[in-house]
Amino acid sequence: MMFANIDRFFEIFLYPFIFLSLYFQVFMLYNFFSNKKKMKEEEDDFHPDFFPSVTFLLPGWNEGVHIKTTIESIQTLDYPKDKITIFYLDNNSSDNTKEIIEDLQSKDNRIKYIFELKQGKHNAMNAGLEHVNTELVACLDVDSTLDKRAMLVAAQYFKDDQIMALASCMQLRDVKTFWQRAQVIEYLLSVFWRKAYSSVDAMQVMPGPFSVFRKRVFEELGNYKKAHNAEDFEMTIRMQRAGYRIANAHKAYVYTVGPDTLRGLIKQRVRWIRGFLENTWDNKDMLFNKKYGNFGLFTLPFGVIFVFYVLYAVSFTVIRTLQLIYINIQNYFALGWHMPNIIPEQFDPFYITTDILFVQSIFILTILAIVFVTAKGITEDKRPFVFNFIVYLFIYPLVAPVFLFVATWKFLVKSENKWVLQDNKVVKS
Amino acid sequence: MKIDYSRYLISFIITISIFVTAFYVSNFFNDKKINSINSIGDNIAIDILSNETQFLLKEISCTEDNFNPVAGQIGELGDRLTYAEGELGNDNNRVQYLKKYYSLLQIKDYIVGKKIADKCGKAKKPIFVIYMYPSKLDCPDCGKQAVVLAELRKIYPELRVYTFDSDLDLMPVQTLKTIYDIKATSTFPILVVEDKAYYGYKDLTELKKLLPDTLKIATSTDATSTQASTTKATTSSNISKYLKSNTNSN
Repeated sequence: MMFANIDRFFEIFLYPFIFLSLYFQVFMLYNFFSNKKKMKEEEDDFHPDFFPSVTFLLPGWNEGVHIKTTIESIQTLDYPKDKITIFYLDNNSSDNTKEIIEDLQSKDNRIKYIFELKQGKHNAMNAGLEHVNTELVACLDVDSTLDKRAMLVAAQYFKDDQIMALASCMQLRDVKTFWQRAQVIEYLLSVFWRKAYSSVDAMQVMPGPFSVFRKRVFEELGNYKKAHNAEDFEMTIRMQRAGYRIANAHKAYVYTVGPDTLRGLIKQRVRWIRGFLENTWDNKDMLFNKKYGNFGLFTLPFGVIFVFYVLYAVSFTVIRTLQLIYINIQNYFALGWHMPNIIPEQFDPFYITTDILFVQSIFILTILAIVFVTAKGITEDKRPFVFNFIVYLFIYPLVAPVFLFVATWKFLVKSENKWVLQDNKVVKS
Repeated sequence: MKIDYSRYLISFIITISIFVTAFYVSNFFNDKKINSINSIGDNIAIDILSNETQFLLKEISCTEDNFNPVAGQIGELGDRLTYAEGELGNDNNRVQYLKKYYSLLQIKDYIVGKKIADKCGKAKKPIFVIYMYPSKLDCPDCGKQAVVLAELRKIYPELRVYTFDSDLDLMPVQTLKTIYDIKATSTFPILVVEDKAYYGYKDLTELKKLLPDTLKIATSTDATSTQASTTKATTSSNISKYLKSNTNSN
């Protein structure tokens, strides 16, 4: 009876949540496919002589191992060399960062070294922004490398005067561990979501690994803020509030590195989700506010719904699993050493579940499969994915709730956000 | 910022369509399941009626080949109904209807079976166990008791276990409760073995002790054939063969 009451409590929310998650997927699919023609036009509308000047901002703390590869990826871009400036923003590193930069500077005078004592990515970025004299500002994580054509493709979008910033197409590289395999699929799906959001000017967040802004965005809206260690998201909110248009260059590829351990993954995601919740709370006037377009009406509310949906789904699954364990333990003790027949004597289709929840899940998974296949087409990612997909489907749902619970808990109790220097290493959004 | 509300509306219509389709698909298959349960129930009803008719005609010679193997089918029906109840919920009207139908079939089989057993009175007569659980009250041991009974049925295929929801709004079930003095305040689960009611959970060892020795002797004698038979079949397939040939000749 106790279980029955818990079940009844969960069932109240079950169908609204299923409906909302289905609605989210349908809305995104509709946006994406109704924008397909425009996507093709974006790819074809190529002006080989359009090269706005750009400054690359590379903030980093003790990133000595990555600096050379990342800067090389900028130096080898299919983009006029005289249009590129590189600012390395050293956030008080204690490794050989300075020596590496000095060595690179001796061969390439476009590279500038800026030292920032105050810890935090936002401080480093702001130190760099003070010296920018180019039309565009490209923010690049030091552990991320660019595709040769990334900047060329990205620049094309700025032919449209209304486009104020641009999000890129992120993919994971150096995939070695189990946890990184799961992230490969997650990043792939996010390629689709990002394009769908941008098609209705509702971009959720400017990705840290590679985003491009017009310089005047910072002149008009101000520099980066600490923003609960989610400065990229906060800047996106400010731009959406100001009605700035943000595009997505789905063919501007950037390759980044995901956390290779469970601990690292949880730490990163707790920061992201908590940053999302804190900043959304700070801007709660935008929620369901049509004044802020689809961002206020769809992106922000569904972001919040998603967090609570996962928390709900996980609680529901945990309760159901506990019920099953309880019943099986009871049965086991009821029969002493008699083990029940776990495998049925013969297959009977009658016992295949036709529960509404199961049927709805099949529908939702089918849509997810469409999203996955489409995203694979966009990224032209030829890597085998079956194993990664299995890891994502079966392992991720076990891990994702951990960071969601921790982040939500920290948000609710407002525990002090410990932005220790070490965290600076994973400053990504 | 410009909002294209038609996108929201079209997405809403598509979502509703998918949502409704999912319900329709689920209901379609659930209906099929309910119909299959109904069909088993109908077969049982015919078999019971046939047994009763045989008995009333007094043309039987008290050999077990004269009776239909109803208990196995009732067991199958009960299993399927329990599963359907889990999927559709106890409140579902069709589940409630099937539960009533199932309960009536059990009571009818119980009565006819007892009459036959009393008349024929042979050593290997079936043993009847009534198991009552409440659906509206908390009964932490009921699930456990059902598992124990299922196990007992495997050990003693001659056992005829009848399961009743004591809260079912059905007169014969309420009459059964009156006969065995079962009240709402009684300790559940309740077992009636050989016309004697036992209150509270009974484990496998305790239950075995409640069974008459005749069953145990019969089962141990038939150990080889019992092992070969499936858990649901309570009598040999010769019975159905005999009845089929009888039906054909008629």
